Amino acid sequence: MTAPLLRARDLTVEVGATRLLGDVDLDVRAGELVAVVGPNGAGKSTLIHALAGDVVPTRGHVEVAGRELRSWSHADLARLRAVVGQDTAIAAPFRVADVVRMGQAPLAGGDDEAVAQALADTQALHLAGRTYPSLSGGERARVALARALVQRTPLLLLDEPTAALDLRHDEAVLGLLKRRTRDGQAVVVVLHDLDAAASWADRVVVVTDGSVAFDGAPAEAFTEERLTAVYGHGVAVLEHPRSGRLLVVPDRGTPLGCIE
Amino acid sequence: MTAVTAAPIDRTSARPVSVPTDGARHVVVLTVLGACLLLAMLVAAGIGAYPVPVGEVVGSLLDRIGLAGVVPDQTGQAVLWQIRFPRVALAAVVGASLGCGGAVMQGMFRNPLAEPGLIGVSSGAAVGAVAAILFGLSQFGSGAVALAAFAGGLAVTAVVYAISRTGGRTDVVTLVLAGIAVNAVAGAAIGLAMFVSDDAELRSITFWNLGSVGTATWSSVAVVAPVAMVGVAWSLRHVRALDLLALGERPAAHLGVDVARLRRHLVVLVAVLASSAVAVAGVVTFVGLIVPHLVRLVAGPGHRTLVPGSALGGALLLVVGDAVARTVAAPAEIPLGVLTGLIGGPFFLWLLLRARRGVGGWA
Repeated sequence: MTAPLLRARDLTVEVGATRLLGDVDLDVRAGELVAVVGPNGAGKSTLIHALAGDVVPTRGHVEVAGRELRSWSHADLARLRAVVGQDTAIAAPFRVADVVRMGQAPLAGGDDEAVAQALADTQALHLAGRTYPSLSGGERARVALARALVQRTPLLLLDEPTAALDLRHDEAVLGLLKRRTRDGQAVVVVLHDLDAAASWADRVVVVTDGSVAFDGAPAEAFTEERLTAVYGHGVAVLEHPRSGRLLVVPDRGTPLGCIE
Repeated sequence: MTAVTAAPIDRTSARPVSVPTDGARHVVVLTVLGACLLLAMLVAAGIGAYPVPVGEVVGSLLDRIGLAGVVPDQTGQAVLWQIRFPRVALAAVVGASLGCGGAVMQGMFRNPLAEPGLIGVSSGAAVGAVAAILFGLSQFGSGAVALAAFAGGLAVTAVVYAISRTGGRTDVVTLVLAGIAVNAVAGAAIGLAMFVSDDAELRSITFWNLGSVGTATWSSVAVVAPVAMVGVAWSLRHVRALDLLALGERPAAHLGVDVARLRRHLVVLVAVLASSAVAVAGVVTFVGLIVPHLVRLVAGPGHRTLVPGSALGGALLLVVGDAVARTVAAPAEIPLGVLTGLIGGPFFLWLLLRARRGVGGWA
């Protein structure tokens, strides 16, 4: 097995007396699509921020490509990992093409073909000449993803890139990420759609109350018992009647407000 | 506008689409601004109480560098080289500093309403100059007052910046609020100084506080021009980082920008550009605010064009503004700062309303 591209050990983030993340261990290897799932406020975004180097952990450490995160220069780190956060607002009315070009800032020269390719991959090429603030939330999310793709990094950290997307673009983006992992890229992606996570991810990391409840293959991670406990709401894990694959849906037959 | 063709097919529209680029617009905007500035400087040098035709202004310049040209008479030569040229040059340099400083500041704050005056540079410089006048430092020449203004601007910027830094990061809201507080205190200090000063000092303070390039000499140009040139050149080194900063501090950091370091550089840069301009020309308001707005309307938000364009545009605005200020009520001169404020204020309001109506907010 190859050495992990991203390694977190005892990762703990506290703000004041509040513990947002506690003792998280995580390894991400090249070619893996890792989905981070969990309820609101579980610490998924904090985990992404800590892995990205946005927040300094209270304890523990993060290694990227075998070296301590903080020992990399800003520029070198930008060639190793790309990040798309939840907030994709931009202060100025840049055009979409220029926004995506910014993703090439860490690289040695611009490559407009790569920009067009990334926009085509995220099904946003027709937006290239529009100004960014004039886009809808879902369009912005795809452009922000295209910006991260042209950065050509071995590692992608994405915080809910599909939250604002419609069904078709949701599938297109996840399919794209899957293809990227086939080409050797490692992707860590926060998802709320458990069924999408079950279908696309190689591994899921279930986060709850700031710690990892389970880390493993979707089929092992997604049991009705675990998900129901984690979310405090009934979750049904079924077999898809046509494909036979895992189907994860809210159990609307038995709404359980409070689960022990 | 040139277009780079792209091989991939957009699945949504199923036809090849090109990715737009801005190379041509960048060149056109800067060339047109540069040409306008040159023309305005030549015309502005000719007009005034002793008019010199533009042809003779050009001739005088050509003659100085050893080429043949139609040279004005002796009085004309004296007026041009002792009064007009330094004055026009100073207006251009001060305008370039303020315009460039404004563009950098707005990029740094990620807010098009920011201005060098906002973080207290102008008022700090004003306090420095007024203190120098009040304590009689002006007897050591106008350079002493300029130096005191420069020191005041830098000191205030440093104080505001130190206050607004917490835990190794700079909080924009705190920085702005600290700037407002410093501006209020500086305003009160100047008011107090005016209250206790005698008539001659009061005249001097008032004239300085309203802004003018009327006291221009070659030595004042020689002092501020190198500072402006270094400042603008240094700003040009940061254009890419300023673009990335528009994405937000974290995204900029993800793209390899050392944001804390960038901010440190930018604060010093803005303080140097603005306080050196204020030091020789007094408080000339709105240039740093309006010029980047105008350039942005034409050239878009990219700092590669915005920063040099604002330097050229600021120079153009002050050269024209000064020509108007000294001719519109001749033989009297309107203070330049009054003129820019008078035109700039309503114009800015119009921009504000226009931008608010526009698609996508601030444009």
